[in-house]
Amino acid sequence: MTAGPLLQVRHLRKYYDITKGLFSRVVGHVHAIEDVSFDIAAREVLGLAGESGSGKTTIGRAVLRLVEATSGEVLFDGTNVLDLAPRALRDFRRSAQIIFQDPYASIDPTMTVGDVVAEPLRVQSLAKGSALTDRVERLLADVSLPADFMRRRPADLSGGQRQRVVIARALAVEPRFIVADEPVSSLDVSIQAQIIRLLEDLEEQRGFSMLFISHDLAIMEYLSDRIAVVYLGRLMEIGPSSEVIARPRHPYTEALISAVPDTTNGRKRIILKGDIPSPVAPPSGCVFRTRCPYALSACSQEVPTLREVSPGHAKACLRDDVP
Amino acid sequence: MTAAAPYVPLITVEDLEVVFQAGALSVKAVRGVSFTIGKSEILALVGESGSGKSSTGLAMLGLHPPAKVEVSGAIHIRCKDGSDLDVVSASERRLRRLRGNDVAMIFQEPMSSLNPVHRIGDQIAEVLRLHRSMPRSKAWTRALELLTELGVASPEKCLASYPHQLSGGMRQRVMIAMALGGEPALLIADEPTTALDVTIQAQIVDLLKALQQQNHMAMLFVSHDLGLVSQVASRVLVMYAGEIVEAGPLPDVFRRPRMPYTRALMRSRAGLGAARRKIEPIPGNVPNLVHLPKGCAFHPRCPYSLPGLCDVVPPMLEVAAEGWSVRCHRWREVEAAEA
Repeated sequence: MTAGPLLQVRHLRKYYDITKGLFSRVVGHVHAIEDVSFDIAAREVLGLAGESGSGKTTIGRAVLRLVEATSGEVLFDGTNVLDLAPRALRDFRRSAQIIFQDPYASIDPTMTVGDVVAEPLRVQSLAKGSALTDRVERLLADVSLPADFMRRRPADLSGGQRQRVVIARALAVEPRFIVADEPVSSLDVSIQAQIIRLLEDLEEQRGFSMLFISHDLAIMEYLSDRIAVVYLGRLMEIGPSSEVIARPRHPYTEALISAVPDTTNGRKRIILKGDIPSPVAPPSGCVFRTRCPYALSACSQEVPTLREVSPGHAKACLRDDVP
Repeated sequence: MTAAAPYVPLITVEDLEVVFQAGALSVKAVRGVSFTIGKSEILALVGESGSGKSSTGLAMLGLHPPAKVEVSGAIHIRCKDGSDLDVVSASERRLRRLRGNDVAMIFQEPMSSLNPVHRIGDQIAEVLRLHRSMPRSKAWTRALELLTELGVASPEKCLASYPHQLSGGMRQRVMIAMALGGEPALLIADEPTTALDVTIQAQIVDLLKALQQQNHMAMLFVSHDLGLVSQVASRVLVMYAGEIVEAGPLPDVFRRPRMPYTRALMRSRAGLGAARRKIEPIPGNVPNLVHLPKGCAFHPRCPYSLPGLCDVVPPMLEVAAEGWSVRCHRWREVEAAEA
């Protein structure tokens, strides 16, 4: 990738208080994100994989300050986003946008498609009058929607068309960074492919960076340059996509890949026992050890830190000999 | 699979039609669907939303409300008592006896199928009391056994829990326990793992397969996930716009699909690792069931569509090979062109 990361996430943590009683006494914390660090280079797509409850959505939102992190740094072009005052934060939103999972929930059903796409341009005072209309028209064309969709309401649109509108809205301010949080998981298989190809083309033409959050590893490998795997709010493995998929170095990644059903039936399958432990009382040492087929007694004592196993490829696992 | 055993159909569906009445509009969700499910066979039903796969599953239990939905055709089931029942024409009273005893169903979202204010034990026991006429104490013991068989780590604790206290995977196990309580001959699983994570999905799928083999139960596995289906089923029906467009053995159908829609569906998927390839999306949208395209329902999205034929004449389901049928005018030409 090109020089100098666009986004640097350092020791990001997010705890939610658990309160009890009349005076909301804090009795514990949900460890949603626990010491997560990663970089995203300009034009790079980083995939964030993990099961539900792994904290991947919280990471995406904390990076954009849609939720406030408990501690850590998010450096965008060298500036810490977590310190920005409201005004500066609004400027940051011109550079960083989000695409949500459910296009039925993320569009105001009473607005026309044109207004939905124009809204960020109005809020940021980037265009008005006929210049605004022109830009909205061009944005719709970029996501392959005809210009007459401007006057339509979301209710007339299919799921795939709605997601195109959401993408056009995110692109309106010409962001340099986009968080895409499960952008295709609510869509049908044939429509998923259309949206993936659209994102692929747009990323190529416009050169934005993207944090692509998904539970679908095949789609993630397809779109991402690198993949980061999270479990219980911690980073388990990060590395180049094809390498992580072809040769996972963390037992959790290995299990995750083996659980993906494929039509060829050829892969070795590892069935993990049990469920993800509660993030309120995560296991001691390595949080994955309770489900790990390779766990040793040392794994309950020591918290593994992320260490490089090959250039650009790191894992948080004590063992070198597995998987 | 029991390959050597002679094929005995447990279920025979003939020319099933399901029509939803919405005011002046009538929507044909299922159009002339016929198939059989053998004793202890796992048949997969795949398709996108609006393809009619769930409507077909619901019809097999007679679950469509007769006031709003018109069901025609025939669904013959060989019941455990030896009788033959047509679900379409059966009375509600008779259907109540069928449900749970002969045919059971599990749904996508177990939370909405469980009663939030009753303990799990009471809900499983209720099924056993209704369908197996067990006394309360015995029903609890059997519920405990069922959960143990399903690999629930602490079954006593699970029985005493309320649905919200359980994880998604655990809730789905409870649903399966309830479905198996009546020892049905056929289990309809409608997207049973769609709401679950892949690692939990793998657990549930393995469990379903093991149970099916143990109990010699037939299963209709409804899903949109082609990969999942090929791990579970031995035969597949591919549905599009309410019709079966391809039916045949697995994994052959996915390896060498004959119907252009099945082909396109396979090519629109991103493969993992070695199977990685360029995604080729299917253009356009799933057709609106109120205004179906003339001729073949897939022709507006089909690269092989021939004007004057595909947009005029509706294709019939043709036998392409033994146990393999295709609904396409041009499957021979398509096959020759791709070979």
